[in-house]
Amino acid sequence: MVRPTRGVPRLVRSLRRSTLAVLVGAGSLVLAACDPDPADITVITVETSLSSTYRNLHKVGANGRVVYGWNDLEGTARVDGETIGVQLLGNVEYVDGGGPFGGFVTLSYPDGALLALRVTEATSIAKTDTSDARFEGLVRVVGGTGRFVDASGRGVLSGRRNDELGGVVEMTYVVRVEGVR
Amino acid sequence: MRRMLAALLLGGLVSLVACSDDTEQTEIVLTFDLESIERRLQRVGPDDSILYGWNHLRATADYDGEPIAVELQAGVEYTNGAGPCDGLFTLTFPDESILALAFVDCQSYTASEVSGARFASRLRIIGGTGEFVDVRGSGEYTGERREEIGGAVRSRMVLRVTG
Repeated sequence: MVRPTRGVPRLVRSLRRSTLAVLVGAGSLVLAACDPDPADITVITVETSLSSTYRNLHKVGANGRVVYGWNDLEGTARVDGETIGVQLLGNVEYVDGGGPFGGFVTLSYPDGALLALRVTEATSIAKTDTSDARFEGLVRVVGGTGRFVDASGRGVLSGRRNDELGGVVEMTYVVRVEGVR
Repeated sequence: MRRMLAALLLGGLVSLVACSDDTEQTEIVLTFDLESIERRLQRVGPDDSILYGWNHLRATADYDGEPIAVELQAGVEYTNGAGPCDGLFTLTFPDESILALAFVDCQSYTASEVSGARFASRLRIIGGTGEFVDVRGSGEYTGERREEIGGAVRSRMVLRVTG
């Protein structure tokens, strides 16, 4: 009886241990060369409560099950001893209460420096009336001003909203930023 | 046997006729000049080379002699004047029916004119109300702005809708 074997393990078995060791070593060197020095990375964690200050939303589809448009939310957060402003220009396209969303996050520091993030691959899971929402997604550094003028990096977002769309959003952003002056 | 075949053919014909309304494709071509009515834009990066945020634009288009209100909620992330864009179109017809569309793979290109830009995107139907409540389809959008962002955008939209 011949047992079916998957391609990758078979390939791995066919390589000698010494060959594997060389490959792993070379890979580590390449990764080390590409990775930024950990000392150059600033991890920024922003925990904020965002209130909607402007909305331009439309409902379409059978029974208004699709809601799309803009929601501008603002809040503040304490980051490394400073109080910063947080603005989320959010765009949504929800079907039956949830779905994809995107937007821009602007972090405004007391010295006037800005750090801009783009929300990517974010999703809201909620009840059909958009309440009890949970948010997960990724963020990418768009750019900045002041100490963040050369910033780049990526991060994640997570949050929740108990009320319907337009209600207060509790949101956390964790961003690994390189190039902070 | 002949009677059975005739009945099957007749049944098929009736089915096709019954479905024809649902599958009939309508092409909608609109040209309009979008005017920016509100902007929430920020400049960041070296030499303020990156521009991001919202641009809210409106226009009126003519379709079969009827005015259609056009609203575009556009999001931009430009580096040196060009780059990806996203947007949500709301077309409101005279009977208050709404047709909602979203940009797919929208790009802005710097034009030969100083400060200008050209735009190209596919369009996806989000949904609608009234006569468009069950509509499906797709389309294309092209636009040209001769001034800096915030200036009027000469636009053309071609939609193919069914349902």
